[in-house]
Amino acid sequence: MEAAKPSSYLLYILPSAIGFVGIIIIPFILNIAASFTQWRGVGIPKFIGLANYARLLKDELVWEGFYHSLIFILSMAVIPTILGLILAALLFDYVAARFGKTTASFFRAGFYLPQILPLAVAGVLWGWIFSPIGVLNTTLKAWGLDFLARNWLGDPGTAMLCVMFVMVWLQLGYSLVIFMSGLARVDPALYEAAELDGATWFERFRYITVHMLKPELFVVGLTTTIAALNVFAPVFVLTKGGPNNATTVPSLLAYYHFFTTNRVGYGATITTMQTALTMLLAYVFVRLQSRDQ
Amino acid sequence: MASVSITSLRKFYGTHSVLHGVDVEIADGEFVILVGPSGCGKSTLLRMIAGLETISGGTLMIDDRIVNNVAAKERDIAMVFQTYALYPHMSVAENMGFSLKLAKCPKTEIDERVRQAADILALTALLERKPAQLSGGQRQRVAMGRAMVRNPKVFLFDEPLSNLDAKLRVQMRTEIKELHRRLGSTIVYVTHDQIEAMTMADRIVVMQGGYAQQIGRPLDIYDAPANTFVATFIGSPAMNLITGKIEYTDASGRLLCADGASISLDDPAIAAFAGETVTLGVRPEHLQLCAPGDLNAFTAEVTAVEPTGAETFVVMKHGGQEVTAVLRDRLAVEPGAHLELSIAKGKLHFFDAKTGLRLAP
Ligand SMILES: Nc1ncnc2c1ncn2[C@@H]1O[C@H](COP(=O)(O)OP(=O)(O)OP(=O)(O)O)[C@@H](O)[C@H]1O
Ligand SMILES: [Mg+2]
Repeated sequence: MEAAKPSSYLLYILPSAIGFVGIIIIPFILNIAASFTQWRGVGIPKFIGLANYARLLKDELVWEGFYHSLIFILSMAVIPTILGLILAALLFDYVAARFGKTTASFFRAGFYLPQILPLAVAGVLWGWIFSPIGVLNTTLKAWGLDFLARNWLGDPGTAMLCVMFVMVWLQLGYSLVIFMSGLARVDPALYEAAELDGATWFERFRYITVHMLKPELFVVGLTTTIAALNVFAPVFVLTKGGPNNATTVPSLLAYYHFFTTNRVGYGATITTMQTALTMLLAYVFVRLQSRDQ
Repeated sequence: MASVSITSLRKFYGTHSVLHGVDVEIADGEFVILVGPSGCGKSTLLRMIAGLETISGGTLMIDDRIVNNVAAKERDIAMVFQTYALYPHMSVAENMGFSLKLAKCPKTEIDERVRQAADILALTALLERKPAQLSGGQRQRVAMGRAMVRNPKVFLFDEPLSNLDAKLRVQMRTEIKELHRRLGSTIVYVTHDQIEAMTMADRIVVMQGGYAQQIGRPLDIYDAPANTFVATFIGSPAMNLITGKIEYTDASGRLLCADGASISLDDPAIAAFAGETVTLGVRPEHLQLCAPGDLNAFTAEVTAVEPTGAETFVVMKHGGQEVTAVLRDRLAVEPGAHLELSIAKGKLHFFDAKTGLRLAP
């Protein structure tokens, strides 16, 4: 059979290419274009050069948003990745070996549950738990710990901590499931060899597991970090960025400017900055990974 | 170095029994090979010695200490795995020194011991490589080096040569034997290849179906297999087994097979079995061509001729039973031809036709 000309393959890419260009590329370019304009969403946009960017650099709220992004990287990427890795290894080596595979699967499914729960449901659920008359405060009072009870999400001092906790709860299952499937790929003889070499559980974890799961660590690290930089929905359903912007993030600010104050040009500027940062970070990750191989 | 003492060792997976009580005494410095067909429990036994499988019954002693409940890492045993199980992200030197590093050995001592082992195994030039950059034979040697560096009480090998090509296998066989001579270490080695067992072992444990069928020195087992399983498993081509009824009259006897074929037998030992049905065992190399009417002789029909160069394997049918002869001379016969064969004097084996157990001599 004669091989098809490479150009004829393009035909097969066409349907998804149309989607990609229409839904991603064009809006992306338009968004960049909008960031150089003053525009209220209707009418003719007015070109104003870099004025939006100049304003962004001086906007303390935006800086605070990006600072919160770092906290979200901690609670959505760093902590769930480390915790997920340790939990996966524990479930795999200890729980599965001691209590059977079914028990391990049960825990894995349990940790994964938040991932399949609709975010709105999760938000309402945690809203109830943290509300001034919610489960948490009721429990604390029942134990006589009244002095600890407070308006968890309404207090700028605790709101971020609560959101962080929910984010870890939300993200843990994702990394756990990926790491557990990665562990199934590792030759069990490696662990046996290490055991005979005198390695304790933690030494096997440190010298074998961490190294063997490097591909998974990169994937989880990259995807969760990107998710942290773009986080919107969980914060929106929990606090809407409040109280007093204590939990606000760039996506929420962009949303606010787009839809509440109708400063579309400025909102576009924030999202453009956010995209640039995300892409820079992804680039660093991919470079690190290729250097590692 | 240490001795290993295995007493009525049992293994259950759930209710399924895979080892039904195995007894083996392994002396200090001995090279013992567990050999048997696939699934007979060799690896299970080895892994129980290593501490990688729990012991369901019986006792396991290393030196004079019962280690049934001692963790693998406390037993001071090194194992070479079939897949080698080298740590892929570590260099050859790091692989070999890993156990010493965990034991918090000083860096200079680790380097020194790794270098010594690498010297012996001709790995010095490869110390900085990763396992992926090595050939199969080199990986095999690194796996051995990793075990050697530790200077453990016992070395365990689980089919370490099965991933190598035939030529390398023969070479590594010699190397491992040489290594054993040099280190004087206690080795328990698993293989399903009886030639490996015959050529390397001080003693062989022939296993089948979760039992140790026979334990002994290679040639003792070869010369006096305890039952028909061992008789056919050890030796290649396998020992011929011919079942029939012994007739013995006036100091001359014969084996009468099912369809009227017979073998004249000139061996006083058969007097004891007169009138009984037995299984006669004959090694293929103990059959030779002869003139009609010779002692211990019979006629068989050729079904296949397999020249190997040095020898010729002749597969034949006698009384409906297959018989193989290994002849030193080249032979031009076609399938269908009839050959007159005699059994070398004093080379008969007798087994109980029902139980398969050795009867005599
Ligand atoms: N985890 C397990 N659960 C149940 N049965 C098992 C398990 N591991 C091994 N077995 C059974 O135990 C028996 C012995 O297995 P083992 O691995 O010791 O065989 P082996 O002699 O090493 O065979 P091979 O030469 O194929 O490696 C086999 O019948 C096998 O099916
Ligand atoms: Mg095996």
